[in-house]
Amino acid sequence: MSGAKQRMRSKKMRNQPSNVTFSAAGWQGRGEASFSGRRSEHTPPMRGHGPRPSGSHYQSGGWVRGHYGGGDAKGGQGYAEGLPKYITASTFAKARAAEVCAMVKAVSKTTGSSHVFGALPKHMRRRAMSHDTKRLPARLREGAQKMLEKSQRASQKEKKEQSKTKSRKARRRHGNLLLEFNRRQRKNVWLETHIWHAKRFHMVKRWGYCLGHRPTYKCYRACYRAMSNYCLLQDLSYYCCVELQGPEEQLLPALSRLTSKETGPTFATALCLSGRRQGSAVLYRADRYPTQPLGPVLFLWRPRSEHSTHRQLWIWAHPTMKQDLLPELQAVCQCTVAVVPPAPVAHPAAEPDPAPAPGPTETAGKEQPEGRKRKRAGEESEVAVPVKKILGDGTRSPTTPVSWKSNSTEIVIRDLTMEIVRYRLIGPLSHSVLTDTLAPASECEAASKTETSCFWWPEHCKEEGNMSLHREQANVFQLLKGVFSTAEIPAGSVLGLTVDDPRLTLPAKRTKVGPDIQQLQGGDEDADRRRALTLQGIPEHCCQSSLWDESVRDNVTTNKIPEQELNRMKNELLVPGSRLHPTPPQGRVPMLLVQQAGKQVGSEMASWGAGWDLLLPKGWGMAFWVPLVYRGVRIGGLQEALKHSQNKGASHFPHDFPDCPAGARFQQEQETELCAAYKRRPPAKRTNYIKHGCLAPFRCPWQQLAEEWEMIVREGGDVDRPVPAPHPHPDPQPRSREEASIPQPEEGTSHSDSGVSPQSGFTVLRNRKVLRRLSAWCTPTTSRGQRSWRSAQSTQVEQLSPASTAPLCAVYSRSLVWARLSLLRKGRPTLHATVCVPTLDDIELLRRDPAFCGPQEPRHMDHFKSRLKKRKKGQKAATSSAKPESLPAEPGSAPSLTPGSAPSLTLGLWPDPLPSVTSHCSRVTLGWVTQGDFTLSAGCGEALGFVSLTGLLHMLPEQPPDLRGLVLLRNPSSLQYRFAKINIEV
Amino acid sequence: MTEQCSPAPKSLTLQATIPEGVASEMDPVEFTLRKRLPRKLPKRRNDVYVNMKTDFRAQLARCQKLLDSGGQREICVHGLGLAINRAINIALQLQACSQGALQLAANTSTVELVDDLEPEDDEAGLGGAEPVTRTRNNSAIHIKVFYPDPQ
Repeated sequence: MSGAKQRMRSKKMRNQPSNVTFSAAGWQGRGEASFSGRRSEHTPPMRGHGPRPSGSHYQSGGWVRGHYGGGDAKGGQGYAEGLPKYITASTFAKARAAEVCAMVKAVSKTTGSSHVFGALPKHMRRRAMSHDTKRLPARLREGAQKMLEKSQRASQKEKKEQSKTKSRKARRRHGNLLLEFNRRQRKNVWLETHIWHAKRFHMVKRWGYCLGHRPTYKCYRACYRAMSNYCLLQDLSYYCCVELQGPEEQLLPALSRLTSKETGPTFATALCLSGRRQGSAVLYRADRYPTQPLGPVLFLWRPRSEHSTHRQLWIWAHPTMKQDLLPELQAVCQCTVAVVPPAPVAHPAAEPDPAPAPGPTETAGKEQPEGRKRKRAGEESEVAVPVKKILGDGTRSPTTPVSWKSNSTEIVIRDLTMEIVRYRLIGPLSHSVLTDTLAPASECEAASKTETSCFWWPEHCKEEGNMSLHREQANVFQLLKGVFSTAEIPAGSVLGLTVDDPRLTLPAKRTKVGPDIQQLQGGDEDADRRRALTLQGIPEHCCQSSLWDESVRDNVTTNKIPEQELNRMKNELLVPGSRLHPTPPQGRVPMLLVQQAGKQVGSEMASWGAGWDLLLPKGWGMAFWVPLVYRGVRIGGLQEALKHSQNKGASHFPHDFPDCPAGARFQQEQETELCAAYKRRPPAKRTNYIKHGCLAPFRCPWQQLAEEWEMIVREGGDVDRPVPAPHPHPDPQPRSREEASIPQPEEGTSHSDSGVSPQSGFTVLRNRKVLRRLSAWCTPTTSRGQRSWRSAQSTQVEQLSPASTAPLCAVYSRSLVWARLSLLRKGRPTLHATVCVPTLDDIELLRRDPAFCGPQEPRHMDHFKSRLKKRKKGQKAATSSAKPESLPAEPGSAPSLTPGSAPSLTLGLWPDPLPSVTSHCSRVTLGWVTQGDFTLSAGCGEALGFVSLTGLLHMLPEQPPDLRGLVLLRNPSSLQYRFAKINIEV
Repeated sequence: MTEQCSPAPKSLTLQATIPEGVASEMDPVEFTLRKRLPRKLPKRRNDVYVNMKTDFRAQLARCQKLLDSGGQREICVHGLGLAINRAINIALQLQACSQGALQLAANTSTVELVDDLEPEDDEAGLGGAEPVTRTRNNSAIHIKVFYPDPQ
């Protein structure tokens, strides 16, 4: 018998009771043993070959199946001969008894791993049995019940039990559902489109909101195509709006302290101030222009009205920035007195539903055809649940002041967060989507003009001036139909409009819309007007909108027809599917349309990603969202917004604002997130970033970088150019040597800068004049695609020389420059890739061979690994119970460690006090990438990031003029450097 | 390739002043020039807009493919400004490769382009300037490349 067979047999016999044994030794001893009790008894007929007579020459084991070669005839003989002549009943029964005993025991006993229903055969098991014992056969129920109780007791599920007490039907009842929704958004507010998004998006809780991150379906490329060919829709309602009211002559000086002309347009820009354009600006703390930025904002002035000098200004800011922005605004406007909100505003949640749409709802209640439904409605009102779907920021405590006024000035600041819905349409055909979706409000009948109405629109119609304005706005809006691309309208144009309820014109099917060809050709008159529109933009008086009036906004919000009511009205139409006529009086919504400029910097893909923003009163979000979706637009989330700004080459808040407090906070959050994700992997499967020479894969120590470059340049320019040996750390204590060669900045600051302190030593350069100069310096002076104007321009600009860079270096010694890096050949840069200075040899190699991919970083040594191992061993010896997971402490939680104490170690990550970041690798570090990916618009890898200004100015003059502006990019998890072209775009 | 070839918008500084000392009476305001994209028209399947960024051979191959396997009896090659030359080259190459089967019909036109001049310092009432929008004209060519109808 071969070894394999033996093994198989032993496996089969593993679970056999010990009192039944089969002899593997063959059958030749049968004759003697046949009457001697146990051994003789097994003559399993299913084995295929019967017992052989004693003295049989067959030597093969009893477990061999099949036929014996050539022994067929003899085998047949054997069967007949092998039958015993007689059997002794007692011995036979005794032997069988043992076997039966063993069998019964094996069947009745459950094997170790199985549950109670392990006793069931597999095909009868059902998953639901595990929690519903009634699905089990009756004989097993008792045991299963016991097990279930035990497990429930163990996991302490009392809480869940309690919620289960309400039936699903009860839980899903409208009032209860709203209560539940309000409870769930106590911590993170929902947008009005939340439920729509939650069904289709991966939701993230960020900045106090629940936001859609990316759709659950695969649409990365489709979203890009939508942005470049059609239209992508995005809900931006989480942006915070702050309203400033006051006389212009008081507002402007106050606000001018927050901005600087050097960074671009400010609040006082003439076009923006007239209300015709939306502006954008980077705000700083009051009078702290270059050093303490807050972040970018969008702002919109209300057009001047004839009879008052009072102005209204909306500032739109990212929610992370609001907490910095509001105190700053209060300080510059001297608005310190919090206005206690008046009663109705103060208790929006506690107040019973303020009778939405007084007239129709009541009649609706009476008209209910079925008695049962009415009864239920009655019940609801009896219970009188004081629940109202909270529109706007329901989580805010009602007593929290939302407006502040000043004692000395007339300025009033109001926080309009969640008061206004903001949707963004991105793409060249977004205006077509808009013109198809929205219809300018139909005017009221003459009859209704005499009677007073509780709705705003009939009142509004009474003034002839309003009506003529409305007609003009509608005309401008209709003109948009004849425009082929959104980018043809001047950037930032504003159009006020009043539209009919878009739910009335909802198409039956989801379809795409295109530009109207007839309108495109148009008559001469149309063409002339369109030309005027594209040249002069939208006239000033058309930018006025009732959306600016709080009373109108409230009126519109409270009087919105509920979806159910509207559907009922549609249902009662004589011709199914026809438009509801006349438009119900409450179905007019004031809104603002704001054009968003597309890509404005750089030379390629100009105006890519232009679009329109919709500003709507709160409560109307879904009423506009669904009709827009029915026009075939794609919907994007946060990820798409990031990709949009990346393709535009624009910096995205808060990712790309490391010098702002919000940006610093974001960086810290991102680090903990990435670090946690890294530590979730088993240590052997992680990238060892130490070996890749990557000091900080999860964050960018900007402060340290800026300081080190400052030192390098101060120490004496290129003489002290730190080009370290291929292995910069041959010994575990490299610190001393390094500190000697490169002046080390104080180490404690390197991680405190990413923390909360806004007074970080580095700033991002936003001075447009300087940036423009840098931009000219970064371009190669003689290349094929050189245009004449550029060289003409460069004659105006100072030539690149140490003399011209020195003053810049002195002034902006610790500055970073926002740069776009496009890879020359292969490669896809990722987050936190390193930007390095190529050596002259690298450039020479590239010049000789244009296909040269780039140099390689020699592999670094991980000296911490051995230390980690040693420590682990020691710990194991000391406390055998200590878990190995507890060893690597969080670097975030353990900030600065004194060099004497053993630093917290994680395999593959540098422990906290980082060595010199610039000279760590074989190429000198210039900066890091904050966004990087393969760009579909350019067809190559592109990265956006910051480089040190001093480093850049140090690098540029040394490069040959025809290959100027080349840098190397290296991903944190790779050793390969790739060549990239640096572009500074203003 | 869908965009017409225009000198893509660039920002550049037009300095109205020459040297500071000489002409102090001149307008000291700097403008940033932004060129808007040319007005687009709906594109049919057989329209080819030629630009200067894409490789010449690729554009030629695209036209060839449209004529050979794209099932088009005629295509329109459009070129604007600098790309006129290239559009003509493509059309001639197509004709030369077809051994006389293709015919050309060229049309020229003028396209109105819009520039935005954004002043650097445009604060109201502080000596700032109004932003200017101006138009300029550029030539364009539209070449119809077609198989003549068999008579």
